Amino acid sequence: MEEWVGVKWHHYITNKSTIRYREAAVSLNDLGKRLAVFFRALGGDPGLSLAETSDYIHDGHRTFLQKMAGSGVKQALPHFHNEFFFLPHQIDCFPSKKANEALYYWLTALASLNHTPHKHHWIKHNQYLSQQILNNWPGLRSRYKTLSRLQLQHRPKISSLPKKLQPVERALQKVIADPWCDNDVEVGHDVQPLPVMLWLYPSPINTVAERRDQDHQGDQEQEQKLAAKNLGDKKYKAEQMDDRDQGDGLIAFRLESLFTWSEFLNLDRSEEDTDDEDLQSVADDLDKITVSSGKTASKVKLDLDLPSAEYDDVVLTEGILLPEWHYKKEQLIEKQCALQTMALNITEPAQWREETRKQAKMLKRQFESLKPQRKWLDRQEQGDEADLNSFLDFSVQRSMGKGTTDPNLYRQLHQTNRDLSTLLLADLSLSTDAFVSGDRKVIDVIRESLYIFGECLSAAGERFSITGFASKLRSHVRYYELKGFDDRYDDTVRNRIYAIKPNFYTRMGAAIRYATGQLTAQKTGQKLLLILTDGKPNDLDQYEGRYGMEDTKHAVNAARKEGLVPFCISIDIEPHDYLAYIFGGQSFLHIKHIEELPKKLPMLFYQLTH
Amino acid sequence: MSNTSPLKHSDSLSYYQQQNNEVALFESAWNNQLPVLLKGPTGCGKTRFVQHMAEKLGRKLYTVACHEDLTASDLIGRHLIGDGETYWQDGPLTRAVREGAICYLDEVVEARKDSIVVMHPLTDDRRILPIDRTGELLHAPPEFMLVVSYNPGYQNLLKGMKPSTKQRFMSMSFDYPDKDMEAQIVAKEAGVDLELAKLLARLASHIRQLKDHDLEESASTRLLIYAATLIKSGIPVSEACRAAIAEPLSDDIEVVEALMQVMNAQLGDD
Ligand SMILES: Nc1ncnc2c1ncn2[C@@H]1O[C@H](COP(=O)(O)OP(=O)(O)OP(=O)(O)O)[C@@H](O)[C@H]1O
Ligand SMILES: [Mg+2]
Repeated sequence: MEEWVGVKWHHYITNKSTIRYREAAVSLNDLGKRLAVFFRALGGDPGLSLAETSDYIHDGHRTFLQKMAGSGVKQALPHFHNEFFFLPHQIDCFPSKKANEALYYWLTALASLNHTPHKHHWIKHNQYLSQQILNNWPGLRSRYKTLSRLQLQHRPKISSLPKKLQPVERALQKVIADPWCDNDVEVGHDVQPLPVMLWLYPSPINTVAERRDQDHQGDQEQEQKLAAKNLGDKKYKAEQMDDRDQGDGLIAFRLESLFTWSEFLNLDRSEEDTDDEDLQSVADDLDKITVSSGKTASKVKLDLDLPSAEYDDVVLTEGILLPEWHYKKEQLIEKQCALQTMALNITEPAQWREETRKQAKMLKRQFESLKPQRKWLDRQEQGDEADLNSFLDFSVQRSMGKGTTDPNLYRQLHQTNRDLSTLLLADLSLSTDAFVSGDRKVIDVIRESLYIFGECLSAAGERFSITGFASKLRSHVRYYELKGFDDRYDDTVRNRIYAIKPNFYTRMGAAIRYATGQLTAQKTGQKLLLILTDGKPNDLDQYEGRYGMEDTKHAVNAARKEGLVPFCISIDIEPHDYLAYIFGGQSFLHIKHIEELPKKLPMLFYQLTH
Repeated sequence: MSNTSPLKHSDSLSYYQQQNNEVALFESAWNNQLPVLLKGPTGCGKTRFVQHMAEKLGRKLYTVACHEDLTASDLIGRHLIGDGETYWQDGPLTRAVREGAICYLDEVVEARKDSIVVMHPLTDDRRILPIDRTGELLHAPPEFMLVVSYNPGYQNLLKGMKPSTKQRFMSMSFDYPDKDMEAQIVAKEAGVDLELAKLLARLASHIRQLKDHDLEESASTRLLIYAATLIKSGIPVSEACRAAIAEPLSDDIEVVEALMQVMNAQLGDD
């Protein structure tokens, strides 16, 4: 009997789930940003990102036969996992584009309640979510009607199903038609109905990840971050596994099931299964690979020796000694760090992407109009025109017998310069080596951002400097001046910006202290210190966690005391609270979508200063 | 108190919906001759509040919208020529001092620092206004009050008021009212029924969650009133919301479309 159900069911799945309306397909790529805004506006957790999933093993408890056939339904199904809400990369289950698009919005609306449906109350939970959304968002009711009608047309006829599946299917259809109906039926352990396109799915069951060695937790923060950032690249394939939601022995089942699955694959292509490429294809078929933090860790460590002299950048100064704040001792320890100013090894001329150049050109044009205008200055000793107002005052005063000896009665056209210097300090530590999407890395985005920032500010006639830093222990804080305040912004500078690469760690306090000195030496009234970073201060020694944060905070406050305005732009994965702690609530901006940095950086500068 | 104008009854005043205890606070600031700083996002009712309070206290109101070219003379006054003669004309600040009125400097951080310092002697217990150009020294009567406002946020970080200026004022924070109250305000101001106003207020509370993440500014009460007004005059709901809410909030087409989807989810698109 078991087996018969399996066969019959399999038959269904392969027939029914393959109904696709290719010409009406809508892809997540085209809608992503709108859905994300929609999600947050409806109350979706702003800490989550939308991501795409191509496959989700929808297998329930597969029968022996199904396992033999190597099938489970592979369907793109919406679900939460870690800090992502996964949506199908494409929806084409309904015959019109309009309906498929509406389905994307409907699923996003369900997700905005921030619930992962319970795996044992899947029908009821989705019923509840649907009720909530239809209650809260009456405008969606007519759309739901359309969608549910379409969904019902695509359900199997109940009488044609094996007896065992009938009650569940009947209940499902009733709930889809009317989410307010009474329903007590739930999916069982041994019956998984055909996927319901209108509903959310539980998080995939997780494999057990290697337990992290508690002793090395701190060291591993960076690698965890790397791992998480890599998720941006292959989100659906590399969903990071964690061992939090274990339950009722299901994990064991799952492991076994994964195991059989790969075993089958191995049987099929045993001879190809040797090199990396095929391992990758196996992984893709498996849908999930565990991103092991440990592996990344060892790789990071390997890269961390100082490069051999011939590849290294040029050391310009041997150690400028700077203090560091020891928060436990509550003491600024003098001469604790040695900072070297460095010149980059430039090997090739800058070659920007077409897209980047276009963006630079467009923004530059906007910034050109901000160039300081010539202005009339009143009350000048001499000038091109008479100043009527001062003349009036002067004549009144004279008639009252109070004439001044040096009446300033002229107006003069002056080039008014902005009374502002800006220093941009960019974090060039190794964490910027993480991938953003495709083969683009964080450092690539930073590079392009610095370039566009430079183009814009030079177009606006601003006085500015662009610098970067990285560190390896307190003896090696490397400070790169890509453009000094007095340097012209030209190809030399552009080539330097192009040449930046990820290096070492983030001893932020020392870098801020040095930059503060550079800015303080400027003679303008206002001094803006922009700090661009992708994470917390950290280095190999005690400079991490609280220690690094406190030192950086101390350096920021010292800068403020010098009359600087420090402001942090963070491209960390999440807008963590440490930002407000170090920089103050009003003095940082977290940029969630790192790809927006190139555009946002000059805009932010504009907002801060105009 | 030498104040002679009778306090007005509330029904003849311009409408202001109190959110907390701001009316009483403002009254006691006025009674005690304290200058007041109002902080809050755009379109949340600061101007309306000052107008309401001025009427309630029976004082004339002089409002100055500050900008970066505003000079001290724009506030204090200047000499003018007329009929072949020169004469002095008071600026709004001087006039308010002379008349014992309320002077309201809106968006005060926009003004240049050297224009702002002229109000310093008015904001401590001397309460004087020296007019250098004429040599006059005015003593502010007890009814005179200085009110300034600004919109905090990182956009104003560099411009922000110096602590030494800020600490001369008693401060009150404003924000958008909660949904029910905002619905009442919208209904009353635009003359629409409460049901529509409620929907708009709910919509706004959702869109406000996007501040800083997707939008630079929140949807203000003012925009809701615009939308309601358009709807009342017969513009279809979704068109009105697009013109009065979505488009003013963002120039990004995708964000505008997303906002429209949120509106449709709230108000229906057919
Ligand atoms: N509490 C309130 N009571 C009555 N009306 C209100 C209230 N809050 C807002 N409004 C309405 O909103 C409109 C905008 O408010 P107002 O002009 O006072 O904003 P504001 O805070 O001064 O904005 P801005 O900073 O842009 O000048 C008012 O014209 C009024 O119709
Ligand atoms: Mg106003």
